[in-house]
Formats: sequence, C-alpha cells, structure tokens
Amino acid sequence: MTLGKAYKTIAVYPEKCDGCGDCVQACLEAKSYTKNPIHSRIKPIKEIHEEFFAPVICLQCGDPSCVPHCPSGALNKNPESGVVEWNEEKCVNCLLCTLGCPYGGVSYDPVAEHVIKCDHCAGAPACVKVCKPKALEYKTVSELYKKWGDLEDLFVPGLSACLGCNSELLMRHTLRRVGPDTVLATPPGCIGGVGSVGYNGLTGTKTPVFFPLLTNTASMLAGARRYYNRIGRDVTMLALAGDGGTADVGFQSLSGAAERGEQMIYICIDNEGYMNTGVQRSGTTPYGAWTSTTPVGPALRGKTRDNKYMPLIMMMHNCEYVATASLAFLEDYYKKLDKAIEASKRGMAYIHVFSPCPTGWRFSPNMLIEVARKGVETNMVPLWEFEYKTGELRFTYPVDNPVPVEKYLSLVGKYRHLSQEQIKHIQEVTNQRIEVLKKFVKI
Amino acid sequence: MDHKSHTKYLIIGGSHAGLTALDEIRVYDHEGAVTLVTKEYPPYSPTVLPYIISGKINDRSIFLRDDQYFLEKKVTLVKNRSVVAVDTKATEITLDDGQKIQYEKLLIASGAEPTLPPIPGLSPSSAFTLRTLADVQRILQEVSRVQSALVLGAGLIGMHIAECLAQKGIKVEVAEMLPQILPGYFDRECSELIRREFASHEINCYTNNSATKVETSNGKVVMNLQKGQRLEGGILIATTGIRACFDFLVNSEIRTDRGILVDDTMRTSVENVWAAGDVAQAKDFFSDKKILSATLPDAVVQGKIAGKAMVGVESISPYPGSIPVNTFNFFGNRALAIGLANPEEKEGYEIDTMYLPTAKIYQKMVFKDNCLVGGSAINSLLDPGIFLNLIRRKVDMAAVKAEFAGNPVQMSRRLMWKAWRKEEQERKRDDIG
Repeated sequence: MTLGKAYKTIAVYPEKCDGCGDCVQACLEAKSYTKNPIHSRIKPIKEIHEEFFAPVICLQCGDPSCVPHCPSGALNKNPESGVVEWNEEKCVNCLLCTLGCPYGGVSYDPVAEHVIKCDHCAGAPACVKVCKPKALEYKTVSELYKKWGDLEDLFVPGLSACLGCNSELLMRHTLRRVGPDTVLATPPGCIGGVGSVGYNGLTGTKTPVFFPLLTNTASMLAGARRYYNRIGRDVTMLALAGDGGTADVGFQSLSGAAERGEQMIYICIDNEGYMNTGVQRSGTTPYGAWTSTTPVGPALRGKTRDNKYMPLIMMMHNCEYVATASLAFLEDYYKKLDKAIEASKRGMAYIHVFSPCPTGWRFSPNMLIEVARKGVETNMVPLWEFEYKTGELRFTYPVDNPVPVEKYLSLVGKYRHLSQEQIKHIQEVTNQRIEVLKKFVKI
Repeated sequence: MDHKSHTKYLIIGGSHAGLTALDEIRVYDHEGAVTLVTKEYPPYSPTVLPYIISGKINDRSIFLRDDQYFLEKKVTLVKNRSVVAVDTKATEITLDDGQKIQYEKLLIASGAEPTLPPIPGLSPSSAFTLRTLADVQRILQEVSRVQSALVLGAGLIGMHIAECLAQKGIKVEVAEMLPQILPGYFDRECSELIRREFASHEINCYTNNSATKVETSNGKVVMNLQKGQRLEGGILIATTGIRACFDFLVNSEIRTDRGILVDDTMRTSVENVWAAGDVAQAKDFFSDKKILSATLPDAVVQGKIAGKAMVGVESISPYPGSIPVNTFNFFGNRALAIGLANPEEKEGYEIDTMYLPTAKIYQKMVFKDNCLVGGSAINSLLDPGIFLNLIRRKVDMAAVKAEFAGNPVQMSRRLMWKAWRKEEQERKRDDIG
C-alpha cells in the first residue's frame, strides 16, 4: 500500500441523487451486456418509505477492509490507480470480503456466481458520465486543496508574525474564503501587530481594514454594516479578534451586537492570553497555565481559576451560528466558514478558533499543528457547531475515545510544572464540558 | 549457539492476524525493525484449504504475500521455524533450533490446530485432519484411490469437505454428536434447510449420534456410532474442533485459559506482549465473557488493533467484542449467519422469519431492545458487512423495525448511509461540500 498518493474516487452526494437509475444502465452497458440490474456494480437505494436514493458503491478505500478478509489473496489495492482489484483466477467464492466491507461495496452476483465490485472502468467511470443531477463525481482529494489554493490570497506576502504562528494560517485562509467584498476589523492584538494594519499609509490586506479600540470592535462593525444595508450593498463584516478583545475587554460590545442580531462574522482567535503585550493571563487562559501574571513559584502554580467557555456563552446569545474550530482540521474550518458567511446575512456568526501560540505557550514552532490536533483528540477542544434555525448542537469531529489530557499538556511548556492533582482537575473539567455539550445535542 | 538477534517488533505467526498487524505497524512506523517467525512460508490461510481439495484453486496460487512484499516492508523473515519458549522478563523468545530473538514488542498470533476427541481407535493414523497444506496433500493422495469417505464432525469445514468429496463422485457420510449439522454456526431452521440440500445430493448426515469406536483394516475405516450404525469408508476425515496453540507459554507469566487472555487492545497480562487471531481469548460482544472466536474476520480486526497498540498509537478504538460470523456455500447456494441467530433464551428477543421454499430463500432477523443482534439467511441478497456493522454499532431501529424486516436489503443500505457512510465520506475528505 502506497501512502500519501492522491487517488481518484467516485464521490457520492446523496442529497442530489433523484434515483433515476441512469448509473445502473450505464454500469450494465459497461460491465455486463445484459439488462438485469443484479449485475450492476452501483446500486441506488429504492422502494423504501423515505425519499432517499443514494447509491451503494465501492469507495476504493485507502485502507480497504475487504483485502485482509480475503483468504486467497484475490483482492488487492493497486498502488498506481488506487482501485481495489478483484482477481477472478484467485477467488474461491467464500464471500468473506462481503463480510469485511461495511459499505456494501463488494457483493455477490447470484447469476454470474461470483462477487462483483466497481473498478472505475479503467479510469473513466461510465456511471459518473451519465449522472445528470451530479450526484456522482469522479475526483481526487487533492482537487479539494487546489480549489482553496485557487482563491485569492488577500493578505500581504510578508508578515511579521512569530515563527510557527497559527494566526497567519488563519488570516490567510479566512480571507481567501470570505473574499474581497469584506470590511475587516482587527482590534489591538497580534493580528493588527503582524501586518493587517499595513505600512507607510497602505493597508496590509486587499480589503478595507480598520483598527477599532479593544472595546468596540463589534459595535463599529455593526454600524458599518447598517450603513451598507442602507445604501443597498451586500458587504461582509468580519472581525478577527483575540481572546482579550473578545471575551474580556471587548465583551460588552460583542454581547450587545450579538443580542441585537447584528450581521457579521466574528472570529475569536483564542491563544489563551494577551500574547501581543507579553503573555498575560486572560479570561480564557486555562487552569494551571503559566503566564507572566500567573507565575510558577513555591506558592503559585500557574492560573488558579478555570477558563470561561466563550462559545457556549455566545450560543446563549441566540447567535445565528456558533462554532468552534482548530486549524489542524482545516476542511472542517472551511465548512464552518461557509455556514458562517451564509448566517451572517441574517445575524451574527461567531467562530471560536483554538489557536496555540509557540511563543507564548513555550513550544517549538514545528509542533503547532500537532498541539492543535492533540487539543481536539483529548477533547479539551471539542469541535462543534450550533445553528439557531434548527436549535441543534452538532459535534463535527466527535472523539469517542479521547486521549488523556496529559498527552496534550506534556507538549506545551506552559503546563510543564503541573502536579498530578492539577492534571486530574483539568481532566475533570474537560470531561464535564463534554457532558454539558452533549446535553445540547438533539437526539 | 549463543547467537542472539534483536528486533523492535516480533510477530509469531504469518496468517491473517499476524499479517494484518504487520501492515498496520508499517502504516505508522516505516523504519522500526520487524521480524516475523512463521512455521510455513509463503504464508497462506487455512480457510482456503478445502477449496484446493474441491479443485476451485490450485495449491500454488493461494499465497497471501511474496518475497517482494517482505522486502518492501523491510521485514526479517524467520521461515519454517516454531517457537518453543517465551521469556517475558528477558523479553526474548527461543526457537526450535535454539536461536533466541530479543524483542521490544511481541505479538503472538500462532493460531490453532485440530484436536481429536477421545474416541477409541481415533488417532492421526486412522483419521485425517485439515489445517495445513501438508494435510491437503495427504488427503488428495488418498482421495484418488477411494470410492467412499466418512466425515466426523458436521462443522463448516466438515460439511465443506463432504461437498468437495461428493462432487468428485465419492460417497460421503457425516456423523455429528450434536442434534443438528453446523451446530454453533447456524440456527436450527437454517441448518435443517442445508441438511436437506445435502440429502438431495445423497450425503447422509447422522446427527445426535456420536462415534464410539474407530477401526481400520485393509485400507478401510469403520466407524461405529452410538445409535448402532456402522459406517464404512475408504478414508476418515475428522473435523472435530480446534485448540489454540500456545504450548510454548508453559513457563511464562502470560495468563492463559483456553487461549491467551487479552484486553480491549489485544494486550496480554504482560506488558509489551499482545495476542490476536485464533490463539487469543478476547471479549465477547454479547456478554462479559472472554471467548475464543477463531473466525477470519475477528483475526483481521484483532490484528489491526494489536498492530496499532504495538506502535503506541493513541486513541485506538477498543475491540468491540467478537461477533460470530459465518458464510457457507453449498451446492451453489449461500448461507450466512451473524451474531445471535439463535438466542438461547427467547425472553426479550423479537424474531422475524421469512421462507420462500421454491426460491430456496430463507431469512431470519433477531432484534433486542430495538437493535439488530443477529440473523441468518440462505440465498439472500443482504450485504453481510452492512448487516454486521448494524449489529456492532448498535444502530437504533425503533422507528424502522417493521420496514426493515420487510425490506432488509434496501433498508440496511439506507441505515448504513445514515449511521456511518455519510460521516466517513466527509472524514475521508472525498466531499467538497
């Protein structure tokens, strides 16, 4: 098995499928020369009460489960094409592969008397060509990244961020997706400091950007949006603010704007403290963390209070959309941006991004993504979203078997001094938070 | 000889569990030294052996891996050797030629071997068993000279061999101690239908009738049954069960019962030692007991978990527990049994059956607490893997149970989309969204 190679796959979009059955006819023409649908490698769901048709077809899995289930070596993943190939000569018809596949991708054809599965028609799947509603697409994973890469980067090429800064990644991707018809507000903090405000009378972005006070980001954006509404222009209001400018100093204006339903996307870049001014504690600094104002010595062992959980507080403001994000899960973040853009036409969309900071948290810059990922895998940073119109909270990356929080804490220098009791406390707070969030999930 | 080699990962056994673990180790650790000790090389699956007898496949195209594979995966092969001792304190194993290999992480996937019940006259000299390629060759040699054969034990392998031999024109009779054929694999109704099919091909199955004595004379085998029958054949094949192979652990601290006892990550009672496959005694899905499962799908699932655990991958999904699964093909028909197809107590279970005699289609679903817990089928178009996952994931069927029982093929596909396909497609990033 070759790892890291991007293979083409047939992506299925169930919501677009209308059950017309053209894919089955195309598959039969390509594979069986008969009209009996039993021979089709693609099988739309039919004759059920609910209106749902999406087909069952082999996914050509990266790590196919059917292959190790074969006792005679008749199934193999082709390292060149990525197709899971079936070798008729070696097959003994034991059907164990059909037990191994959880997707119904390989099935028994009782007329042909052997198993059948999709082989991508040697790189030109007949079913995809005939699918009118585009419920089937033949594409590679890398096309996804290419699509993002094709969007225009709206930030200056050179930023003065620290090595390994999460915020640069965040700023570039966010503006790419939100696009040029945007007014950006960046209150005092790292974002302004590293370059959004610009140099020598020019802005650091290709969109209008302004620098509100730490206290009034949301109210200034609210005013700007109301003006655009009045003159009839649809311009997105976007805030990229730190946790100080969001959860502490800037909270009253944000709370007011959220409650009034002002139309904007407010993104909180939570690096758990005032990093730009020398690593002071903030309301979102977690329990036990070292900062320059919660020092570690014989008496004090880092912060003595738990952090406030800002995303839930915003959810209680009846925002149109609230989500948490981590850039170790970039595709998840893009999906949330899409929803936020749409929600910001009706009211406030709030995204809380967990943003590890190599400089202020004391870890090596090359560990940024790993720290971001471990935050999620330990459940310290649960990824979820809430939509006001459905009233539903949904985990977007449910972690059923979380890694102990120690695995995350040990990566980060600001937690180096923690005692076993302190770690235990953090674990308890983490578990509790998940339980609280689960109560908002509609069953 | 004082030669001692050292390896990071040591795998004993080269069948499904061992090979799956090896693949999994190499997903995460491309460089760490891997050593595989295997009794036979190239590796093959015991599951495939009856198909050689039937002629469906020849004995040269059954191998699961070749030299090239082991070269690419940077695996040190120790071929045609077996293990005689494991010393978990010194973290080393001893081979039958005296060689010692020191390990950092050890996987025992040594499999199982056939056993013969204590019946007078029943011994390796009077009966053939089927577990290795050598067994196949011995049986094939005999088969060419006999006109009749006896099979003791009506399990999956026994019934499969009975069919293979019958198709070669040999008269076959089967004896089974328990009241039905395929006991423990299929429910009574299913097994009765299978038995009828065998009877129509003139294979007699004597059930509820254990063998009392076996005699051999003039190239004939005579088997006396409890109810007085006296069966005679040119060859006797005994498929009376298997036992896990772990004799080499006799002086070790690793806890064993009928197999090697393992936890949810396939780890044994000793640190840095794991076990998987037919030799492992692991959690049962439906009870708190630890059981020997000895099915190929379980070997694959266990091998994968063990491989991850050996590398030290965090957040491993724990072993969900063994769910019995069997596929059985006979005279062009297919039978399938998954989970609790035949619950011992009827209390709390809802059972739905359907039988179409002319089409030879049979279907049975067993529900408990609104979840699917098992089922069996003959000639059904059910997707076995989806069915298995509906059980394993305990998908709630409260709202759709009636429709499911009436249209299980389509409904199980729908539930698959809802319960795991959509989410996993998104996770696999196929979706541009």
